[in-house]
Amino acid sequence: MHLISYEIVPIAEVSQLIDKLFEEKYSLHKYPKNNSIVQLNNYLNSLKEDIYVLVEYPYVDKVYRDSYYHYYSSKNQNYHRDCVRLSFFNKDIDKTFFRDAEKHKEIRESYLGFVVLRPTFPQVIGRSVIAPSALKESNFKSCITSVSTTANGLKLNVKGFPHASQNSETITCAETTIWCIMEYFGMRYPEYTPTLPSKISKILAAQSFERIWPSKGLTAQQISYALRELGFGVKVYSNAAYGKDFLQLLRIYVESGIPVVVAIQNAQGIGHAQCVIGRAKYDGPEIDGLSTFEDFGNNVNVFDFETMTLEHVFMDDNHPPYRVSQLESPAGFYSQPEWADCVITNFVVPLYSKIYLDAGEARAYAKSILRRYINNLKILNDVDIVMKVFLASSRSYKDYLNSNATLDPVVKELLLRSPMPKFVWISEISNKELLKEENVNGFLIIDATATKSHGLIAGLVGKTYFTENLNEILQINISLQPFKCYQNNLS
Amino acid sequence: MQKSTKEYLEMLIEEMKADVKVTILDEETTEKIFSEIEDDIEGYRFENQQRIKDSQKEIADVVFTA
Repeated sequence: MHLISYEIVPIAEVSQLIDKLFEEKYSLHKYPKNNSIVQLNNYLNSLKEDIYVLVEYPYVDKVYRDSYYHYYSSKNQNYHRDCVRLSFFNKDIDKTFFRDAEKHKEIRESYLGFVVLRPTFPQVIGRSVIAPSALKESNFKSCITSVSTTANGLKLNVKGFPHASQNSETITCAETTIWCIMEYFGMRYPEYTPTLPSKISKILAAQSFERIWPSKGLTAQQISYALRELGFGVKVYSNAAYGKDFLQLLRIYVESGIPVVVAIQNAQGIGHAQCVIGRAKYDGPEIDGLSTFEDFGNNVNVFDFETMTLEHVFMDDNHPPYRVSQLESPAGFYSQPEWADCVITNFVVPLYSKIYLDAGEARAYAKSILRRYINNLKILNDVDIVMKVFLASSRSYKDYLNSNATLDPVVKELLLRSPMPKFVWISEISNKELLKEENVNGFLIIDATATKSHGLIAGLVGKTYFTENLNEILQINISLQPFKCYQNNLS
Repeated sequence: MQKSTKEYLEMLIEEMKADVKVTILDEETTEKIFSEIEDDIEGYRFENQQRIKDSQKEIADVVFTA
């Protein structure tokens, strides 16, 4: 029997300790060892320098063990079963604190996440969840979920997005993105379950005419098929087909808090899958940079929020988590020349299966309502407005309405008492100045299960609250002040 | 008899003692708005149909390995 050994060291000393551990426990020779340490250092360099790290060995990792039992154990070469786990803390934790119940709160508050080092040398970076606050640079908002884990026998929680690097045998970039998506949704919503590489392989085997392992990558169609089999109502978009709307629709989905699988390619033969999970925070200059507008009549000019060119947050299995780049340059954080000029050619959106109205239709519908109401009812005139379209769960949106102290109480009650489906499309209406203060002064709430028109649940434009049923439009005149915008999709 | 949407809204407003009034838009304008929105959406869906087909075709051929 082996006892679990553990050490707590400053982050700068981790690679030295791991180097020694790789040599002693895995009998690793110089070449794979040095390459593995390079990969580890690349990961650790993205984290703050004042972090302390708990190093535990051996660690049984569910994802690696799944690949081990289904694949590595069948090989002639000897593969190890056990992993190393690194847990990160924002201050020095005395070893004795873990056995002192009074110190557990302090440990929990300083916990920043973990990364598993698996013995698939040199691609050692396995499953990880890191809080964005552990990063040297985290000026962004992204999809985040709470993940329950342990460190040295103590139950802990971290808020982050799951990440793993590919091992290029059971998981390449494509399988990793599917795994990340399922891990995220499985941890966040009861409708989904986290998955494992063998399950992904099994799903794909049903549709494949070739063996699945060793993996030679997947097509975008296979990614889409696997996500559909795992319970999503998948939508796929191609750059060639959607043209100028392509990245705008992608931005709408990201703003909706949905991690999107993007396929990137270049002329040099790169074909790679990544997840886009968030975007940079915006401020005055980005908002003022909105320049393209549509004239809706009555001298009302409408700017689309999703034309704002913000950097986005990528989960890329060749890099540490939360890489930031423009959507127009999705491999901007790659230094190798063969990755130059990559563009997003397709994206796959894992939607809740009962969202029947997609982003394009929802935006077209919201714009149509606004245009026709403005023209026929003159509810707005002589203004510039910014329209921001996103998806929200009605549960989260009603909670936001309920706790919104600046929203008119009549409007609040009318909306809270309105029946809504599980998901609604929201089109927030504001202007550049209000947006800078994170305020809005109107909205449209659209039924995400609607497939015909008449999906408007309620709207507030100018000084008019309105709602529709099949054959009538009801209006209530409201004197309204600007109120806080919805911000629950990205953290 | 089942209440109309207007009656529900009026009930709620009365409950809240709010000084606001619910009005139903005249039939002619309502019909015009609904039919214009219907036309806009149909136009979008027609244009979108080909894009959906093209997207589905394209994803079959792109392999991701890097």
